[in-house]
Amino acid sequence: MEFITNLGNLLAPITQPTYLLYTVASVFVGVYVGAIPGLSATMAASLLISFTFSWDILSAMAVMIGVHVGAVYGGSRSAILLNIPGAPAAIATSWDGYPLALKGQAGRAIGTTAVQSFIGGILGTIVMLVASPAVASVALKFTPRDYLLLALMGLMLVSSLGEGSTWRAIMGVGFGLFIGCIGMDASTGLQRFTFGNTYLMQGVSYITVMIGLFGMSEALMQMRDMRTEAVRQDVSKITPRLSDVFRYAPLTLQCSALGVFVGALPGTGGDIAALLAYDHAKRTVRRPEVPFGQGAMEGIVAPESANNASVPGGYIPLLTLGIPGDTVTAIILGALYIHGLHPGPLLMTQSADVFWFIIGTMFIANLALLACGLTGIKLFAKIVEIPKYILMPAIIILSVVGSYTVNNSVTDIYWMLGFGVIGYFLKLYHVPIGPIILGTILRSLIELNYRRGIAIAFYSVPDYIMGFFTHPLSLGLLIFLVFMIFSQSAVYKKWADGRAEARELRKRSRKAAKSGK
Amino acid sequence: MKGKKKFEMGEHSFLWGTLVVAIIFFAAAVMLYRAHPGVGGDAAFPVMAAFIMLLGAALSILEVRHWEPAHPERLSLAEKAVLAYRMLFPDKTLIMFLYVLLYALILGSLGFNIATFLYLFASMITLRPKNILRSGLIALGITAGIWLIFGVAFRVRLP
Repeated sequence: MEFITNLGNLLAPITQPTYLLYTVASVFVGVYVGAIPGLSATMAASLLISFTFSWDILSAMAVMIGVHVGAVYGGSRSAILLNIPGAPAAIATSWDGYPLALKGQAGRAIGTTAVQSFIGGILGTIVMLVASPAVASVALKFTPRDYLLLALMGLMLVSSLGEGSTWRAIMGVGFGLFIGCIGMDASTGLQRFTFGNTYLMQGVSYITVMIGLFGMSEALMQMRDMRTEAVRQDVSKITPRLSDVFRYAPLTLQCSALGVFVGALPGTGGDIAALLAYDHAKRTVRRPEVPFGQGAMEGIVAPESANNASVPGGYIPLLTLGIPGDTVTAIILGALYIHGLHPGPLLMTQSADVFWFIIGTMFIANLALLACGLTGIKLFAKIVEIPKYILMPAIIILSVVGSYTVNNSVTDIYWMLGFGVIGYFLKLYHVPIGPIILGTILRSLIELNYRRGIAIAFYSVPDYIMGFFTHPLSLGLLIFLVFMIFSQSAVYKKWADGRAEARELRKRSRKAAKSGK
Repeated sequence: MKGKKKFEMGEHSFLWGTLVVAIIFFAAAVMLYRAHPGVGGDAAFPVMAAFIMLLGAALSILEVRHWEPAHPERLSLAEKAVLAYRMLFPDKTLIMFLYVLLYALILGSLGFNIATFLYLFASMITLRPKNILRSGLIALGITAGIWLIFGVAFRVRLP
């Protein structure tokens, strides 16, 4: 009987037209909210919490989940078309998405992101359905040491982002980490590098840095040569071929699994998941059709499947433990409290209807995402065809609005403009800007968990270091990190290339032997 | 045999500039650490971050020590400055930089809508001087569009 009731709640978003309508409409709105720089899933969810205050809980959840799923995907559109990631989760998508748009393949790139986001979202929801308690219990075992190791793994991406010079990439990551330190320290309130200036006390938001370094600097770079015509976009092939979906399926599966797990870790979200997935793709895909950073489809497949898989992942600790995975789920936690619910281990028994309804809505939202994500692509792709003399100043205005909305502060606009100019010079002199963003994003995760970890070890460095070897999870992660570092060394690369060449030679000689027969 | 790599105009000075910035950051972090010592304190992480930047900047300079100069012939400082300027700000780039700076300055006093319209209009007629009326209408349309989407539909506060 209980099974039938739960199944009914799971299917409620389909069987009841009102919920279905709310979910589909909110996914549609979410896609376009995410696509506009300056509007984010967090902002939309916080607006909705007041808007849906008087609604019944299931309708409120349908709308909030729909917007969340849609907006995480939507961020990829502006990343591909304008090189301004609509959300931090779309940063990695811009690294290969924007080069594709410059080659006239924006439609193909957006179509691929829609399909991959859908697959990632569905796989994440399946994990949420069948393994919520198990994933949550593993995620809970993560200590500050393990979070630090995870963030350091994310930082390893720096070597693959430094096209040309690894040292310049390392300089960039150090710069990003340092920029993140400016402002009032969150735990002690100490002012760091603020010179007593109140405007500097709130620090530098990584969204501001991201918009400045990506959007603003790109617009300035494009203004260097106004003679080149806008690239005509090929919008004849938008939906990816089924054979392509199958070709990328192993990568999609791996990155979705990574995404759902990273999403389930409290304090991490789609941005970290997408960065780790991009790094994973760069390591594992040996021969992409186009090199990474120049329009590789794998560079879109990996982050997009991971960031949308991280959405249901973020709901796992929320529903099973009452701990939000990221900012949007923190707002949803507030919405649940407002409606008199107490997310946690008892939610599944005391409010089973809500629990199963959320999972059902997640499925429907991802199905709706596939439909909504494939709409308006032809129109959106035309944005890239707008003449430069109109598009570039408009991008600068969007960057201004986007940075202002972070804290409703004019200071953020100045920061953004400053980083835009810095980004312009960095690009001119071949200093990769990706590592700076990476450092700014990962700074809080690294610093917070380093300080927590060392405090737990009573500020004893030997005890802190020993912890990495005595705790099985930390040791496993440490070994993996060491392997990641080793795999980037010249020795390993030489060995791996030698093996690949030998394999190729064996294949050729086998073919030659066969044809000889 | 592979040819030697060549500097861009002003690249060497730029790398030295980044090293100077990294040294300043590192010194500032060390000063903070001396005021607030401790391996788990407020200043420990900034020291590590600044050290990473310093290391990267120093090794970036070492990496290019055998590169060929951007111009093989001996040039005076003034000639070098002119060449660097042309490389950094070709065409109307400097004017566009100045427009961005002016926009930031007038944004507070004129308000978002007027400042944005003026910036867009000035940028468009500078980048393409033909069709002034068309540029004006497009600038007006973009300003109105942004105001409608952000200010009206999503009730976002505009600067």
